Amino acid sequence: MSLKPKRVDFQETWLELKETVNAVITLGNVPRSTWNDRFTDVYSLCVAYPEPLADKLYLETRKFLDFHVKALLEKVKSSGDNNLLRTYYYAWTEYSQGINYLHRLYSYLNQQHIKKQKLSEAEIIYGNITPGDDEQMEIGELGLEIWKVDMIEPLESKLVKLLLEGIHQDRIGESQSSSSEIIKGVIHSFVGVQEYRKKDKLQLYKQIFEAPFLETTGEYYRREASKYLQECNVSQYMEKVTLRLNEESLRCHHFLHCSSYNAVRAKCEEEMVAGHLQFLHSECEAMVTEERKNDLKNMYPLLHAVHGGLSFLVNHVMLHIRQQGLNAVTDHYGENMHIQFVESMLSVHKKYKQLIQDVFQSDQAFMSALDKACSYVINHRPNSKMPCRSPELLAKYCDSLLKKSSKGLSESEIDDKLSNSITIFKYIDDKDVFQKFYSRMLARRLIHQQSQSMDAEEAMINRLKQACGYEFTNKLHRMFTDISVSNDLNNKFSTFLKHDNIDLGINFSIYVLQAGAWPLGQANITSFTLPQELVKSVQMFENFYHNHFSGRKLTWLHHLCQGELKLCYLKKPYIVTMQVFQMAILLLFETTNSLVCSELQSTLQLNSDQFNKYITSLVDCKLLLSSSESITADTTLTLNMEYSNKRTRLRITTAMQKESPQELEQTVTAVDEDRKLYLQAAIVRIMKSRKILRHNALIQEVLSQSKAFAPAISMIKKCIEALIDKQYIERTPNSSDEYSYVA
Amino acid sequence: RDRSVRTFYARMPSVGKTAETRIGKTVSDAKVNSLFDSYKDPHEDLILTEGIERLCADLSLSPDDFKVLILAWKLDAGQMCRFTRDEFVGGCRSLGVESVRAIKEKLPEIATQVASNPDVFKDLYRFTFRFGLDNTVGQRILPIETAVILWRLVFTVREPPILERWLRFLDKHRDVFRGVPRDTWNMFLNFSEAVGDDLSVYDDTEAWPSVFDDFVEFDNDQANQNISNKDKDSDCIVR
Repeated sequence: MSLKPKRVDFQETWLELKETVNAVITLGNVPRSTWNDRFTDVYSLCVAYPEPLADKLYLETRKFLDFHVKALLEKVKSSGDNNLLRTYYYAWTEYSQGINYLHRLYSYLNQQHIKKQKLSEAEIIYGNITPGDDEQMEIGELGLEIWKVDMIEPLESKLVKLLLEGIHQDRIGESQSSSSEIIKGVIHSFVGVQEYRKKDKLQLYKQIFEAPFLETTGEYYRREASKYLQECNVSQYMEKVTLRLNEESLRCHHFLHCSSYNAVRAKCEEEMVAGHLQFLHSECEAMVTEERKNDLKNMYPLLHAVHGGLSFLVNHVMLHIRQQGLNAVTDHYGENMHIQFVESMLSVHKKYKQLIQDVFQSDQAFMSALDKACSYVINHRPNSKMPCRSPELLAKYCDSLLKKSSKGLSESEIDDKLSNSITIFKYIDDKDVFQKFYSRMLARRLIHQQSQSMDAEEAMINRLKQACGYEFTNKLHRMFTDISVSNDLNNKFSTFLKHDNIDLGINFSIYVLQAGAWPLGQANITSFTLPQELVKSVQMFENFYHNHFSGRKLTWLHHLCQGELKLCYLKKPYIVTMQVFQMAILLLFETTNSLVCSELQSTLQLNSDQFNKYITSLVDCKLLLSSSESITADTTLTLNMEYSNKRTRLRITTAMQKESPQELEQTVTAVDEDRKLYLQAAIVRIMKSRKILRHNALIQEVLSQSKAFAPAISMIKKCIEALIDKQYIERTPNSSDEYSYVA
Repeated sequence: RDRSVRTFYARMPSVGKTAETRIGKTVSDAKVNSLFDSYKDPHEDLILTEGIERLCADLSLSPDDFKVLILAWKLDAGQMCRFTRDEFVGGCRSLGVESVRAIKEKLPEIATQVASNPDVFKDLYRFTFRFGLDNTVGQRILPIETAVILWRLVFTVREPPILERWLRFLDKHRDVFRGVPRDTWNMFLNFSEAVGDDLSVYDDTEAWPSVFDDFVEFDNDQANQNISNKDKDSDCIVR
């Protein structure tokens, strides 16, 4: 066989070719050899000498296909309306497959002749050139185009009507399984017939089928919805709607082209959900307050799908959680208030977080509703005149966990509870207030060695740091390191003593604390004459310390110190741990058995408040006997030689370790002062870098910079005024709404 | 003839600075100095309370008259109840006056100018704050009592409709505020112009000193109380 162009008799070749074409298109039996010969014929015609016969071949083929399809149309039509879909479907199946083969038989024509004259893809998509009518198409495309024009267009309205009826039958459950394949096939033929197109492949499908389908679907479900509305309550309605939506979605997947899934769903939702939002919303509140999980589970996807449908539900969920939260945290009084507060708030948080996970698929909108509600509850002030107590309660809660004697909880349980408490911490607006309370309590734990475990303390500080940043926990960290540095210092001090052969006469250990980091007010400092027994220790330590760190000033906080005293004058010896002031009092009884208060006080130089307090504590624990009911200057105190106790090691406590109401108030005012300073510093910083700023812009900047607390606008304003007054900033001359930095 | 022209001009309402300076040239320093001497304190080179009282009497003005404030402003007095020689002589020169009579004639003229020109008034208004501070103790904030008096005085002309309510508010809260800082004083003029008679147009998100927030809130509370009281009254009548 030669590939050389040769003279070809068109008529003769075409007659032969046509026969094969007919066989191919009707899926008749075409032997391999015949196929090969005709394939060559197509080639020969295309390259025929003296002139190629490709155009002629194309025309004849088109004529043939045209004729063939028209014949098929007659056949389909004649089968009657009842069988129309079926016969169409079979004709299409045969034809579409046949045309596919034919396309391959004409490969040479397609590849060499037609492709060359075609516009490139880019030209079609980006240029505004539309292919002209007389442009030649590849055979496959040609065949489909002919099918579209000769078959689909004449039958269009009938086909679509029958399809819609068929689908309707399926919806009401009266379809035969055999017809569903046919319906699907017919629908897909609208897509298939344009699959060769480069753009708008789905144009025909969308135009002749999808649009009417959506319309009837909408109508159908509108009717269904109004039917349900009459006979159902909201829960039943939602169940039905959910069911119908799922069914329709399945149906859609079965029958339709995938491009339609979303549109169909949206249409159904529009008719059954969006159209009846008020009806659905009417029940939201009750569902939420009664926490009807099933209903809510049904409600969520329905409303979620509708634009703006969800916010109503979100808002009710928020209100509900808020109410539940308020119910849970109010009405706690007494000793364990802090534990009840934190734990009930946590359980509310946990419960609704779970609910949102289960019912609302952890939707972000609901999560932020939860946050909003929790933050409202936690920062809620029952009395607007009083500061919010949450920071204090949370700090107390942490304290109770970190202190020794936390009621038989295991280490991991404590750890869990502490990490949970961070959840509450994050919601607190006044984090600086929390910090103040926390540092006070931490100070007490550290100084009085009440910490359960230093690891737990450090872990908690690190958690706070993680949640609120380094600046926030800076002081806490410094307190913590002071303690460990002090341990080293004590070791060094005792080596120093050993080295210089100094005997203090007592065991002595000390904490050196940085004044800036510790919340130890100087308020409690009283004049005090150190007992002789302690003088040497104090002096030696001061010498030692000043040698190491010259220029540092040590202030002795005797009111925070304690000592152990061994009582040997009683029937059996007792070892008593007590405050240094109490010890100082008892040490004066070393040489005598009774003293008058005025003498005692003039020796010790304690102020009368403190003096009375410590005397009372010693009288209360029966180590001393008092000559009068109340302590006055003339009261004589006598050692109780009859003292006895079952335990030989004991500790005398005083009331001072409790947080007093004044201290509470002090904390609040201290926080307020800190805030003002912080805000003023922030304003100056901002103004220094911006030079000129409008009032509102400045306020916004300040708000965005303060993370540890939410400053009140009025407070920011007052700080701005204070700075104007101090001439750090001024109003610009041309606008009273603008400030400028005064360098 | 020369003289009659001068008096003619002096009686004319001021036509801006040219007129003043033209007359100013003719003011004799010696005369003004001797005028100062006639009121000056025997021990100090200052006109003090007693001298000011005499001056006011000669001007037939009460010492708390608005025109006295204008005089102080024109003399650029640094402090109440005291004129220094420099202030007095410099002020008289720029006013173009050298006698009590001339001052007496000049003051009403300036008063009309103050009343009609907002910028001139603003100058006087701002001066009044500085004037009120007691320099001897380094005061930077006007005590409420002084501030109230000065507000009344300076607003002898151009009194804003809100003034009485404002002063009543200050009076009720004199224990709460430590005084009136310069910014609040200055901004009150803007405030009074901004709100007019109607506090409902006040916007607390603007850059007003916070004391105006308090004032507006207080005023609203009062108004609400009045309404509820009225409601109660009408209820009674119905019954």
